[in-house]
Amino acid sequence: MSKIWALHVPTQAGFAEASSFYESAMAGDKLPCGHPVDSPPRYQLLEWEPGGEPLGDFVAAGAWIVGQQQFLSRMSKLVHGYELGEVRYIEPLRKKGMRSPGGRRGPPRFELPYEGPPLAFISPTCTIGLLPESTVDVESTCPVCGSITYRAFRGIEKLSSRGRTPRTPNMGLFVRGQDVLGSTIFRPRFTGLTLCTDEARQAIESLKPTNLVFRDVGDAV
Amino acid sequence: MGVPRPLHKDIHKAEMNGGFNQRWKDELLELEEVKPKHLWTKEDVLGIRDKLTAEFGLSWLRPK
Repeated sequence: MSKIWALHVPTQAGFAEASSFYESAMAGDKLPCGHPVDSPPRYQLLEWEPGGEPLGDFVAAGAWIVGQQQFLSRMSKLVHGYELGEVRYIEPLRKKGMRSPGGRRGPPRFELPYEGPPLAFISPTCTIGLLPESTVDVESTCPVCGSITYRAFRGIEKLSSRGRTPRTPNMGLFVRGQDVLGSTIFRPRFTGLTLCTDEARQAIESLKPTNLVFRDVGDAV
Repeated sequence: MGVPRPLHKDIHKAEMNGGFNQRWKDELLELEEVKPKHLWTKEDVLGIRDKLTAEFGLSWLRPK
């Protein structure tokens, strides 16, 4: 048994941050039952938050892990199971009193085109199912395609602006060790989590990334 | 009852009790990990609002 970790980009850590937005084109094709195909978003749509400096190797921008392309490419020599996803930016349409595509008012926060180091997001190509012993709350399961909609993951380590909640012993997410061999990144099916094996965590940490931490979320058994 | 505009502005100011907006970000990130954005419902978002208004002692405003 070995630990599995969630990649986590902290906020308020002194690095540039962004907000992520959603538009329907980001989701996968729809199945006959109406559920989209379970896949990472086609791209990430970001708006920079105030204060664009310094840029860390990773950028807090919601659940998907956004980072500098150069770092993610270096990482891919040591860790497999992902490809680089496209990052787009919201155009600075917001003049006084005008709504941005994100729907908020106020002055532009970052001049576009973005001319900093290219960014990408980790788009996991390895998707696996959670074992039944995982402590998860399920909201619904589609009787046609089997898509699971989760409500909560109980017992995993959490990091928020209020501090750290450690993992509860024997709770969390469990996957089959055979499904996640070696130094790999993976995504539990139907979730927005980007997880990695302990071997991958060590490999990533050996590159000394800035603005990235790991949360203890479960075990490979 | 609607939240009075000056109070609404104060609530969303960065310094409000360690960051009402920041807590929203925390909660939305957690929701996105659990459920892809295309499956978010009105109830998901209102649930976060109710949780945070309680956490910040603002339930008396009964926002709707």
